[in-house]
Amino acid sequence: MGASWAEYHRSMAALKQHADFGVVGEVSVIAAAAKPDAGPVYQMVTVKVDQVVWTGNSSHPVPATVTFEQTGGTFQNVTYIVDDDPLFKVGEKVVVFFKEYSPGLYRVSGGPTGRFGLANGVVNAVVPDAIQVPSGTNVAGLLKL
Amino acid sequence: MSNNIVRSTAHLALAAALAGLCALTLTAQPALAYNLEGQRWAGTPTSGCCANLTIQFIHFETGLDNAYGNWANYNGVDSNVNWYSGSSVATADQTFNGGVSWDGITYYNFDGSNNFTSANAWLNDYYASGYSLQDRIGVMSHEAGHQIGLAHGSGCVLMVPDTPTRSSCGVWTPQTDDLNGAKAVY
Repeated sequence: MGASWAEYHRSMAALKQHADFGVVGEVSVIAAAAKPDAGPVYQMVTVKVDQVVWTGNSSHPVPATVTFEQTGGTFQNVTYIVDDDPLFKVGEKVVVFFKEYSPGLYRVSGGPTGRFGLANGVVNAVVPDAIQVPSGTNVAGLLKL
Repeated sequence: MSNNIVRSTAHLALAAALAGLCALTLTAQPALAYNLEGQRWAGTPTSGCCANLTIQFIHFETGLDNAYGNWANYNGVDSNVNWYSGSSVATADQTFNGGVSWDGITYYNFDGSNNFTSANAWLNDYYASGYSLQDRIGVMSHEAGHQIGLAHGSGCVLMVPDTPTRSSCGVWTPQTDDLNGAKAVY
């Protein structure tokens, strides 16, 4: 799948401007993918929050788990992936910045530019040419970019 | 005398350097400023005019169809692709979803030979309802690019990944690099 992004952050400043909070967590649940009539295949992903690392614009407490929609998934034995936005995997450690777009409803701010991989304490950008994350950057370093 | 020789040598070196630069400029291949998904529509020519493709508009507002008409050519550059309106497995529609960060998406299937079997594009009015008509056309022109097999590019081109960049560049129709990408497929 190919997307046109309405939000596509090229700096942490831009990401913080559009997000409500950022968390370190683990992908705990991915529901079976579905295909609506008016839209592509999607799956609901749940991240268990280990640590809230940034709150900027949130007017509500950050929940213990955040469930959100990811476009793509495996439906009728075919796996669909948005080109720039790899599918989340259960057990994956992540840093994700969310926008509460409606009370109790969240999206990843900026799609692939609002999420990062986390391995051995080191943050990796999903889209390397969006927010530039120097090699070896940890979460605290990411927040200072 | 020696100064003249030095000066002449310098002139010769400068001339040689300029000649080399000219030769390099003339022989260097232009960088490909487009990327391809790897899929195409079967039964269309691989070069020359034209891949005549059909798009089916579903709940699609008047004026947005220009997003497809714009692909024929721009500033005298042809794309080798013409879109026509009609019944098709390639569709264009509108949706409304605040749970995602995209304002447009193309969902496609293809066979084992990398030929498209369907390609459905949506404009997400959660975002696009606040756009100018030009930016809305830009989003769907971008999706039409995906529907012919183009992937994302960079810079001030239609296939740049995001609407804010296209808007700040003033791009809402295929640019030369986008059209060259289409010509590389068809």
